[in-house]
Amino acid sequence: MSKKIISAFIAILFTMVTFAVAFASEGPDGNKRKGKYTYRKVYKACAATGEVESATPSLSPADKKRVEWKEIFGTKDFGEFGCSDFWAGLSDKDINDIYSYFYGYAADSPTPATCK
Amino acid sequence: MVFAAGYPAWKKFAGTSSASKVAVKSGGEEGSIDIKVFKKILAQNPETIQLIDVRDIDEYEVGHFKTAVNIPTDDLEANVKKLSDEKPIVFVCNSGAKSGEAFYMLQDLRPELKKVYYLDAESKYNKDGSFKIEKL
Repeated sequence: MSKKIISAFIAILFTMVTFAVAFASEGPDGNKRKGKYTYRKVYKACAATGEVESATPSLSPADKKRVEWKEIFGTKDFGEFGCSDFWAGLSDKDINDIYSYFYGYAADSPTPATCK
Repeated sequence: MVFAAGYPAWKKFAGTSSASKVAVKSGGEEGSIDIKVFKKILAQNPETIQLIDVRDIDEYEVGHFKTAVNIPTDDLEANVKKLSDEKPIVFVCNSGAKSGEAFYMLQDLRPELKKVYYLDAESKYNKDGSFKIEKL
């Protein structure tokens, strides 16, 4: 009897932990469609100043895994992107939208990005 | 007054009544078009919308919606001032990514255009104009 109770308790505990892990790993809740446009707009503006050679963004969502993008956007360490002044001018909403775009099309997402 | 040639000829003469035309309807996401309604419009009255395929030209040439014109995303900004929403504009691509980008470009650069939508779905096109649209 006690073995059954222990087994049931472990099963419930396992289910709760699994659910908690799944919930904790959910991605950002921004607008990934708008995020793509905003991201490309940053590079167009940056290229117009001559700071970068091309208006095509340097990084694609498929260049990294979701956990890596989570770290970058969580710490707001956008150095690898370049165009730092333009990134500094983005609102939190814009950044969340861009993060949603990168998370949604990351290398280990169901639909990795195929273009920049 | 009687139209002697009968109803089919009258319909051809007078045009389809607006009551039978399918109207654009928004989908769940901001800016998206309802997929079922979009399919009906393509089948029944495609001339009532401006269908713009924003994929690259080589993708477009492999297959596209019959009434779609091709304006790749990279060329869209240069042409954005030429667009009007006299008829609703509907952007399409393969997955909604580029067409969604086009929608937000128009929101940003032509906010006065209100009847603008995009197809937020996975679309597969055949050379003969046939297609398959699936919700992502």
